[in-house]
Amino acid sequence: MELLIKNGIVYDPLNGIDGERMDIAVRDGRIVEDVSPKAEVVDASGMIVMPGGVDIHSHIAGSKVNTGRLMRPEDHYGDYEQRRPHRRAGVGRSIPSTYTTGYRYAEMGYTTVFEPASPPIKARHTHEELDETPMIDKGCFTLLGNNWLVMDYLRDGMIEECKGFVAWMLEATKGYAVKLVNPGGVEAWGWGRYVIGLDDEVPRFGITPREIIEGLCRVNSMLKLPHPIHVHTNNMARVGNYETTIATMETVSNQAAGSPCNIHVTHVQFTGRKGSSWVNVRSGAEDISSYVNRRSHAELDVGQIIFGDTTTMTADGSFQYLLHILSGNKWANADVEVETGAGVVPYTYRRSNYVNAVQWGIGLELALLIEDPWRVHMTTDHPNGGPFTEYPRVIAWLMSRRARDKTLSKINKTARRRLNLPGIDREYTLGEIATVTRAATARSLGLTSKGHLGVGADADIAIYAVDAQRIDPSREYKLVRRAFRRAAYTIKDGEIVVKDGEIVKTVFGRTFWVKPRVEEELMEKVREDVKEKFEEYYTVRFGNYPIPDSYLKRPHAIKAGG
Amino acid sequence: MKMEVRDVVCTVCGCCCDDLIVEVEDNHIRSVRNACALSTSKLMDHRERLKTPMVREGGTLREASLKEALDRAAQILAEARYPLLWGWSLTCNEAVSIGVELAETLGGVIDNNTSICHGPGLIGVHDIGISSSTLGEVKNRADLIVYWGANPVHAHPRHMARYTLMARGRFRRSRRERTLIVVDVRRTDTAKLADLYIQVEPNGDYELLSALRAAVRGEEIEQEDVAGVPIEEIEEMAELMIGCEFGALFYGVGLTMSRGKSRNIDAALSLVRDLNSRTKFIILPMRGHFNVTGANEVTTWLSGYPFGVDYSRGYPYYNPGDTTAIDLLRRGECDAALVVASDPAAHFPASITRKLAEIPVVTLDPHRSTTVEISDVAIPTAIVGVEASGTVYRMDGVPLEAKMLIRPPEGVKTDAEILTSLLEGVKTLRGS
Amino acid sequence: MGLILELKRDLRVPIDMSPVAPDNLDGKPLDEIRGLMLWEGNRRIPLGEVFDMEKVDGGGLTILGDLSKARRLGYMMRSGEIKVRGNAGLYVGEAMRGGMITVEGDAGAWLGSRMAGGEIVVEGDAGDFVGSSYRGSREGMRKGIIKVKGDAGDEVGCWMRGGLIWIEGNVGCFPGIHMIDGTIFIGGDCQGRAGAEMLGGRIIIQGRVSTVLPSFRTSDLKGKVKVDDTPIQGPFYVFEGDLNEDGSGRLYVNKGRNPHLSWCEKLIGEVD
Repeated sequence: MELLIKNGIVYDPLNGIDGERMDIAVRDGRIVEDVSPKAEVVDASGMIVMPGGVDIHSHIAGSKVNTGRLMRPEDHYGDYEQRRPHRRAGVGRSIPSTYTTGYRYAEMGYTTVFEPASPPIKARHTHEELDETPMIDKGCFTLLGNNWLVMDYLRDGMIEECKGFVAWMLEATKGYAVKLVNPGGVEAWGWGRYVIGLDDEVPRFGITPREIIEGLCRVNSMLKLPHPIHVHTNNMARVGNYETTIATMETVSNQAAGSPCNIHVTHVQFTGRKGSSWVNVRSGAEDISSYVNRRSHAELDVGQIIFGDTTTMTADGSFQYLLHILSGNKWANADVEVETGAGVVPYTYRRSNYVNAVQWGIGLELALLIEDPWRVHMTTDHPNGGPFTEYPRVIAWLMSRRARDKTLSKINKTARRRLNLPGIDREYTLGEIATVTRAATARSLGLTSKGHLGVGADADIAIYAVDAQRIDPSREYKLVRRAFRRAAYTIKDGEIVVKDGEIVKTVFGRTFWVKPRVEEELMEKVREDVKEKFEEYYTVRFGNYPIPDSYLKRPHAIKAGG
Repeated sequence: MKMEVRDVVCTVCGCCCDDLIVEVEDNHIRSVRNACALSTSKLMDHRERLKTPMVREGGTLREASLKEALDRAAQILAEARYPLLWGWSLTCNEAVSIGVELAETLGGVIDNNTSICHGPGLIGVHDIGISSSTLGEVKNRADLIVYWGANPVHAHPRHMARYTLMARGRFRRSRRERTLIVVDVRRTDTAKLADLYIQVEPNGDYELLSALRAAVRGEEIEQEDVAGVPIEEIEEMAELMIGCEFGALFYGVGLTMSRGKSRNIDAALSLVRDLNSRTKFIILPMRGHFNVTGANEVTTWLSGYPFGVDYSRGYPYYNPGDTTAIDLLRRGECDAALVVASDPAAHFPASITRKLAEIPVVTLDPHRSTTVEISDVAIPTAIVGVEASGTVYRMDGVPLEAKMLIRPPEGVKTDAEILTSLLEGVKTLRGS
Repeated sequence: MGLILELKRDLRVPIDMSPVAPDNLDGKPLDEIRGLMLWEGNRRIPLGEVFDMEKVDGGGLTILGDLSKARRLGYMMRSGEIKVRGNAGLYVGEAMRGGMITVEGDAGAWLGSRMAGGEIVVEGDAGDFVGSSYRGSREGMRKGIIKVKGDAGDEVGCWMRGGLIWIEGNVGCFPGIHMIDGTIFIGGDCQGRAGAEMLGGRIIIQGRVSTVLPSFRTSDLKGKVKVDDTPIQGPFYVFEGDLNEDGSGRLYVNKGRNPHLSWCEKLIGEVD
């Protein structure tokens, strides 16, 4: 099958194309030099053409997402999708059902999404949901920052064994990256206790968060994994946590080997708070961005909040408990043996609330103060900051000072006074938007065939009805917002799946997972060791734990060279 | 030829024990090791199988070809204006998923056994949330175990050995390091093992939970006894709960089905939540069927809701009491039913079964169940975990792959295969 | 305008009447009203297929027949009047904002759920969850009046936030569960657990109640209590709770009908 996308204004940052009128040719799911005259023509005149969106961090599948759905029938009640000719029914709002998730991403021109927190023992569940999430390519990050075996190996200085174990885990769970959530702190929460500082000891394990972060960062580079360690830092529940964020980046800085980054710090808005209490909380974005601007080894995603009701959910069970106490809202907790935990709490961000307004400002300040758009990815940490369907709103804030001012005029006055945001003039260009929403995220994930429109790339393409040569996004941000809400076309693997913002075909994408190469001798030893510990620690048999490749609908293994 | 299959996942109760060793010879199960009595009897199943498809003609069931049975079934369902799709907890996730698509395609209501067993627990979660964990957390950490309205000695025979009281974990090595409290209306065999047994008046659970919550909060209770339990005993129990390092409360249908139902769980969930300000505490339901949890999970990720999902208006709508099987049948609102891997005619109240018998019923089941007898179409299926593989979820949400150990009888297909055919048949008739 | 709808045939499967609110019919010609599409089970049918209709002078919307399978009568209605001359099904007056609904027979569960104004009167009995919220939501009835002349089921006023629910007969378990504000009056007996987990508001029980929850504190003995401007004669034992939720709701229980609660009298002196 062939497609020719004609006359669009193309933004393809990875190939250095920044708003040029050009045609894009597609054959059999890939971008090619040219196509035959029989190719179907998509007229993109007056529109912009970008690679399909790549979301690096969005909680869309797995046990805690489903716990959120289960706990909140009131969330779905008013937002539902009728069954239609090309699409299944479902529900939406902050925790959409799997089909709706896929459709709503596709409607916005997104074609690849990563679930960033999969509890290993429940990875099968994550994959079952991903398999029933249509339209997008996907993958999941494996939670390892509180794993007993990881902590035992690192404490005992067994870095090689730890490397083998991480490799075994990624393969067993069909995971894509090493995820750390409140390293050591979630284990402490297993006892209802807290680990706050990087050098506090994890109860009964004789190890500190710092040692876990350093150890897994080392393992990550030993295995040459495509994505750096993906870290949700410690101390998220507290004011003053921006210091922990900086210290976390700093602790692996001596391991840095230039580009690419060796640490991805996630949803930094939540860990960018300065001050000593909720009363005097301020933005720590300046300090954090100053670190990122000076040092090239760290990248982050924003986790922008959106005012309104949403559902917060993380593997950081202790954080979620404190949010429940703070908000008085209902609370689900789900600790996972040997590995991790999770919590879910509904939350409403209010413009009039001082702390919420500061949080909103921190996110945008980070995005605007970090100079290199390749190292500040756009997310809402869906659904934690707000549902992913609000991305167009974030895009408008980034591109338009006027859009920001409009929201600023409605937020809590004290927050407005204390934020740096009103004084920031920077406005993102469309090229920069393409960077923070697809090119940079794809590059950070090491997905070489995603996030660009060069020959050989996957033909995942988004076309938005914005006439880049006629409109001024700074003034006409509403037009931009509307265009990004409903793509004129979304093309997945060379097929038109969305037209005029409507799903015209249901397709299923691939699931990426990473298969690290490790010496068989080491793997043998690790397997024996793990098997023995399984008996004592787990409640499932070693033999029933790994997920075979055949279990996934469309698995796609990416080999990592260790 | 003899073959030994290891790490077999048991498909009886919600424990989903995954350490069974099964010996197979000539497509027969010869022996089972590590299993409890319930499990052994299922694996060595001698109940009468449903051997061929059946359709009703002139009031009696007669044998039919699979095609005839499927055509008739598709027709019944496609014509229905408000069909009920019931069962789903004794089959695998893969089948449930097709079931949800079938419900959506038909514009029917899909409900699972949850609504007659642990539905109140999930309704409680809607209001309160839940502080929970996987069973391994209990095995490794718990020094206090509470069973409330549950009798695992008989209903979940290996629960205490594998996961709780007697389990050996990283931080708890033996029975001596754990305390057991049992709350029940009678001194069950589980209660006999307890360090503290609290006998609650029948239907007095809510009052007792309410008093316990007050005691945990340090409130002075004005009454001298609550639900037949002296205040001193309530305070003793509260002290044990506050004083433990990691507590786990397991509740059974004794709590979900006593007076107050979902509100009993509401109070139990609240009690456990409150305890987390003093210590670490979790709560888990003792799910009965091996994959009722999976049925809830699949239905939730596809529709947003765990059971009782009404697709009649083309989108998922949920409200237990309205969209749940017993209520729909009691009000006489459904005009056809599909029953999958369940025997409602044997388990529903008689008045509800009579209502079910008044409408056309299509049943998929491995056995010649009571429901088969009132059905208009019955199609035999393979037994999940014995003759068919598939994903099942343990009571704590841990997913496991149930294995196929032997081939099903000649011509018998899996639930997933039959449902796929049925879905295609319905789509053809409906032109969608 | 006045309109009479008469059911033409028995309802086999549920019918969703939500488009048939007076605000939605006002000023429309009969043909257009006949063509209003409704869900009957999983099919769409025009209103005219199930109802005969006739325009009359005044009197709002009158519906005749056994409507126990008809759901959402008066859904989101803002003004006008609906009279049901028979039984009505689930969700009568759901999310109603204003106007008046009268049911001459019985009404099903979720009567006036999420109600935000107006008045509902049921001459017969009502089901469970009168004036309640939707599952998982804390937004029960906010404003308005629901009067049931017969009995009501369990969980009257669940997550209620305001307004008045007046049940002349008996109620089941858990009236006022999770109630936040507003008033529930129960003329008859209550099966128990009144005010469970309540945060605020008032529940008045004129009949017998087996027990008061242990998480309530005895607070007072009162001769009478006012509901709107109507004085209700007691005397009443007054309890405060639910302490488990730091609640400050008030439970008034008729002293004369509940001699088994006299133990609390000795505590009343200690309160003040």
